[in-house]
Amino acid sequence: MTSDPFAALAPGQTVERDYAFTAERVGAFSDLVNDHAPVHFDADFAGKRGFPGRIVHGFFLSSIFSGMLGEELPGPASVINQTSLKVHSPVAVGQTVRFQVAVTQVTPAVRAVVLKLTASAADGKAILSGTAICSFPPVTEG
Amino acid sequence: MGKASPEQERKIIEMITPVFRSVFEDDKLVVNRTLNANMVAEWDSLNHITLVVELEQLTGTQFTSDELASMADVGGLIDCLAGKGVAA
Repeated sequence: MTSDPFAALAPGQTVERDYAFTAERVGAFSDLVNDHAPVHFDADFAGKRGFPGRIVHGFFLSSIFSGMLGEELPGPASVINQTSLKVHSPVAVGQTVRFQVAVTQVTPAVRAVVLKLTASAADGKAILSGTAICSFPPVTEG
Repeated sequence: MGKASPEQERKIIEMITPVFRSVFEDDKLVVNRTLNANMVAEWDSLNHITLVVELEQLTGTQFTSDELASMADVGGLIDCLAGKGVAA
């Protein structure tokens, strides 16, 4: 086991996580960020705008990557410098989504790593895609 | 590290200018040999990391921390890239 987690990173490393966007979780996120827009809570309102039903907040979807980046890859010694995400399709409340994080580039000179972020539905339909740059701040004693 | 030829310098500046303008969010930023971090308000430590990452992506090269430390300005970057065969 290496003492420097950055040294263990290499292109191709991947982690996945399935996340169920239950009504309870959507409600909790809405309260947390104070976003109770009807498209997230009123099926009739959402249906009249072309959605199959209540949809999950886009920022809730993307927030799952926070846990993956911070706890798994690149892990707890890293911080996020930059993210860029595109939403391809909406997620209905109650749907389970598969999230994937993959290392595409390691830049030792500035202790940074580039990651490809993707999320897809059970049928493989793309939901989110994008990138993140994370870095490993130097540890100072004292 | 040798100095880039005038033709290499022109090609490298043309290549890296879009990255500098994107990272520092300045469409009018003029990239030349004398440009350095003190001349760009947005050139902080976080943007420096992004800049290096994107320059590596763009050029298909990797820098060492010693190479970065020796670059006082964009001129140093140009010469380093030329030394790696970029725009040769």
